[in-house]
Amino acid sequence: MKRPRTRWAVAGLITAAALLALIPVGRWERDRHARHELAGIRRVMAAVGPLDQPALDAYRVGVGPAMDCLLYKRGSNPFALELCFDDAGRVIEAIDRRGSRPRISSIREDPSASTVHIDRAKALALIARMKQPAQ
Amino acid sequence: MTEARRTALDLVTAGTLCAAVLAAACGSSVLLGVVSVGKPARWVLLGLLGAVALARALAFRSEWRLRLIVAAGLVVLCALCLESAAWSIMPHRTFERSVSVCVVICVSAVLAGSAALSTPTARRLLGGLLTAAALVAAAGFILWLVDPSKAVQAASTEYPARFQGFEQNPNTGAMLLAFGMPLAFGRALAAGTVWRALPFVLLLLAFIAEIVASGSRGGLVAGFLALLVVLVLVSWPRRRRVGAAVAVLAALVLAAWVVTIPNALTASAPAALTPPAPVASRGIDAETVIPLREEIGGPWWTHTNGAIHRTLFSTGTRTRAWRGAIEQALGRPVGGYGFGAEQPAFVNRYYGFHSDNPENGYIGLLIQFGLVGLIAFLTVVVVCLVPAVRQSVGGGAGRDGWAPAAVGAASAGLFLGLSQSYFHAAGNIVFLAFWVAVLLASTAGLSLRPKAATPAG
Repeated sequence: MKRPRTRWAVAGLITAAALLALIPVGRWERDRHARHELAGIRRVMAAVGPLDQPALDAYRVGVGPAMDCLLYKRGSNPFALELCFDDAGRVIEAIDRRGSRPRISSIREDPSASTVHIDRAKALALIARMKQPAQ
Repeated sequence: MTEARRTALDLVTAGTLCAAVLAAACGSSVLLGVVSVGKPARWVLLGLLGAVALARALAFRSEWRLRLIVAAGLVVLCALCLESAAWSIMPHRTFERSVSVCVVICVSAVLAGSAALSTPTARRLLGGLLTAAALVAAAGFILWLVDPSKAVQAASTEYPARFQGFEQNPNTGAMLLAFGMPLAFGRALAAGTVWRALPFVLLLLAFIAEIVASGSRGGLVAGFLALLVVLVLVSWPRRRRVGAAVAVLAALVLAAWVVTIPNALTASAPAALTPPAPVASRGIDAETVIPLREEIGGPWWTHTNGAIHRTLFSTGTRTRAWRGAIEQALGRPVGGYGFGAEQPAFVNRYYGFHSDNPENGYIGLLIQFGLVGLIAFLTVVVVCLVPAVRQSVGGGAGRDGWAPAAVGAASAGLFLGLSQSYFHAAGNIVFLAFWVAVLLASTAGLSLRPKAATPAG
């Protein structure tokens, strides 16, 4: 009678320890994922260069979780590179469409984890300029 | 006297269970007035069900049983849900969802424990679930008679007109009806005489008819596969079971063929590959050319006109979304994004896919609490179902006939998970019913061998 009880107690302790160990693992995984996505966002930002440039030819306003985006032309592709930022100026998504399929780096599920910022006022001014009628 | 008391308490419990499932159905009804009542009512009725279940358990506490391994599995699963708030992308939401799911699981466990040594109690609880499904089917039919425009989703260029009955989506009501199919079938098989089986056969046919009219492929397949599960477990001679299984498969093929009869509207003109729209402004609004919600598989990438032809077996758009969702889940493979955070974590970028979740409960669980959570969930379900399967295969099911129906209903819930994401949603139309069926199944062996039972606690 005593043995099964001991066995259950040991199994319970092991399970409890495993559950507790999962907390640092889950947090590490969260940080690692954020780092990985932010590295992708930085790569696209580096490929874009300065925000205001002649290749800037498209935009999005108020998509997803209140994101605005700037899109840059490369070669014949008018939407080759894209940067999306939230209302705090954090870049939370970047898309590279220069290949045969899009390469998306996104942290839009957790914008607060983004450490990449752009000058939001400047970005909005660029969008406002693009919205103006063509001459 | 004791039996009369037991019967009275059972009927109250089964009635409250039925009302709680109905309230969940009302919470997702197409009628806005019903929704505003149903949404809060489902939590009130869940609380009431908990109180009634507790009263039933206390009134016959010497008979209350739950296997220790099942109880331990449920504790681990609930603990995992709650602790995922520690790494969740939305800790508050994770905590709220976890609490609501744990409450439903606890209430289901209390209910199931009361039925462990009482076959009539188990039958009555399953009867409560079957009644709820029947009432939802009837409500849908009545609504169709009164206001067909509400009960039928109008045809589009992607889908034909689909019966949605009382619910706001054709797939929602079909979920509960698919869940009800094995329950009705199990009751029909256990009825003994043709005349006693007839009402349940008619009910089964009504469920099938409404699911077919809804065009819900997931519901149809889940319901029929669950019937096969019942047939595998029911204590019939093998030849009879094989014959019945062939009939069920033939009915599935027929039903699937009927689903293909209505056609979607034909598009007036093919949507040509959209070149960058004529620029009236200095820049292009990219949403008009390559919307973020249609990035993957969209016409801009595929250089097609983007027309979608949905057939009975077409799964292209859904599998594309599943692949993307799995990729997203593998970004945090061990612990996931946090329980209940499926919707914010899953971003719909898939052309032709119209949902904010991956429409697959298992992938949804993988996103929410990673491989650890998915394995824990599957382990708990298997541990719960094994006793009923063992009892049924061993011939024990012939004595009362409810275990195959319970396993069948639980299987329907598991099959539904392949096309619907609901394992995290306590307010979903089948969530409570699913856990009641699963946990009832876990008590199956106990009802025949009370001496082998391990009292919880």
